[in-house]
Amino acid sequence: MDRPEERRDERGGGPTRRQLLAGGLGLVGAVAAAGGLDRALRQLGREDLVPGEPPSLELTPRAWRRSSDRLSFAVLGDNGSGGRQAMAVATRMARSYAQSPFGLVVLLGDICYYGPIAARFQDVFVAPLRPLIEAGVSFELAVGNHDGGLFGGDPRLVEVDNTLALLGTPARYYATTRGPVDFFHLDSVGLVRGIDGGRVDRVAAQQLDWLDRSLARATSRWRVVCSHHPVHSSGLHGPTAALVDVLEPLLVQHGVDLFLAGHDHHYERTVPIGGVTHVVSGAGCKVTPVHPRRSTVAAASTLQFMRIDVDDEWLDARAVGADGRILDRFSLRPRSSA
Amino acid sequence: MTRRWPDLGVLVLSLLHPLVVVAPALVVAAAADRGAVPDAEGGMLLVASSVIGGAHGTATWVRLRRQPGQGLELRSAVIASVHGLVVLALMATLLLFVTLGAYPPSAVVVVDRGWPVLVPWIGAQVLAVVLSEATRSTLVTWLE
Repeated sequence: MDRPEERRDERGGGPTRRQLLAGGLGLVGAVAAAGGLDRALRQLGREDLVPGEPPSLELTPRAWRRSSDRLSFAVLGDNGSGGRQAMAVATRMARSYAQSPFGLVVLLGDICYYGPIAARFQDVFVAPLRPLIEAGVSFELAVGNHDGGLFGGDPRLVEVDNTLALLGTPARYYATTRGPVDFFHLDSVGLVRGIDGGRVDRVAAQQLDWLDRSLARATSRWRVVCSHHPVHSSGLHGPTAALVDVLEPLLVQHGVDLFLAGHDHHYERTVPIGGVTHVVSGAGCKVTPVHPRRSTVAAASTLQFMRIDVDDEWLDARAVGADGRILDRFSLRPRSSA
Repeated sequence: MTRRWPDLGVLVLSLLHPLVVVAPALVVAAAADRGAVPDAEGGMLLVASSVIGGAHGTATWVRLRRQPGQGLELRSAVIASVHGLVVLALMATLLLFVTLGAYPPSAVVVVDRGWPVLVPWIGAQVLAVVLSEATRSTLVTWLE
């Protein structure tokens, strides 16, 4: 006598219980996997995980012009992957130095992704920027949210802190003067953490007081404030509410010329807002979309750095793509009468 | 009476295999293009993924086409292939995140020793195929 299973097969009958269970799970799994895969692939496209060749240019050391009334510097944001996209931007920066040397790189934070900075510092900072480091260029960093506890007393970061200090970054927030420019580098991570609605905690208040006093004492022709988090941005993260509420009034009150920020991985320049030109220059290794707003003058969703040349009368800035294309160009007159 | 899985279904299921293997290489190439980065290496990643995915898709097609006419075995083969495809789709991308982005980044370690990034890339994708096949064959055994 045939077994029930054989009779069912011969008649082309229904599936077994196991097949029903597995079939149902497979269907649910396929739907879930499709959604998960879409998100994973989108994230893969936003990262810079493929390793790249670091630049190998030999640059003439200290070849930039030193003057109290002139300064040339580069600006690089969110470059900390150590991947091929970061290497492409770093190579273009080195070539820019070779054509027209500059003595300073302003870093807008997030100099280390994909692991602790103590372990990755050589891969993500030294390797891509070696030609410029060996040329004697200074590096002033505005710490970002991916930079760990830099200058926070962490004993594991002493070596990194010391290296950055040697290169030109002494603390989490600080001011420097280079040629005709007063730079104010902020710890925007501390500000964002410490400002909630109208309330400002003690740590954030200390930094804001410092900035207020420093800007009031500034005597140079130009005032440039550098931060990881932007005040205004049309990118993925968008404007930083805490900074709009509390920081922006200070910038306007003290006649800041230029506010440089990263955090969003695109390039964007605004019209002067309260007299302050806001620039997001955060595409040092990753690229995310930008949807320009009414205040946006120029925007690009591509790898880039900035090159800025300043004298007493003009500040000339260019956003340069990894392929050398000029993405944006603008000039400013100083707002101060110093 | 024999039954055969419709040819179109077999073809679609077989074509999805190379597609999910190649997808990460296409995404990485598109990212380099958006960033205006020269991408000679990306071409090699795409070729490698195409070879791996194409071989696995061909094997899947041949295996499904050869299924005997018994309904039970056909259903089990198709259900198992769908599960294998789900595992392949997820692992072909997620293993790349682990391989390229894990700490310490294993791909950087390999590249620093003179191996091209192709090596960890191929390793991750072959592992995804192995896991997919293991899932499929385990499920076939359980279903039958």
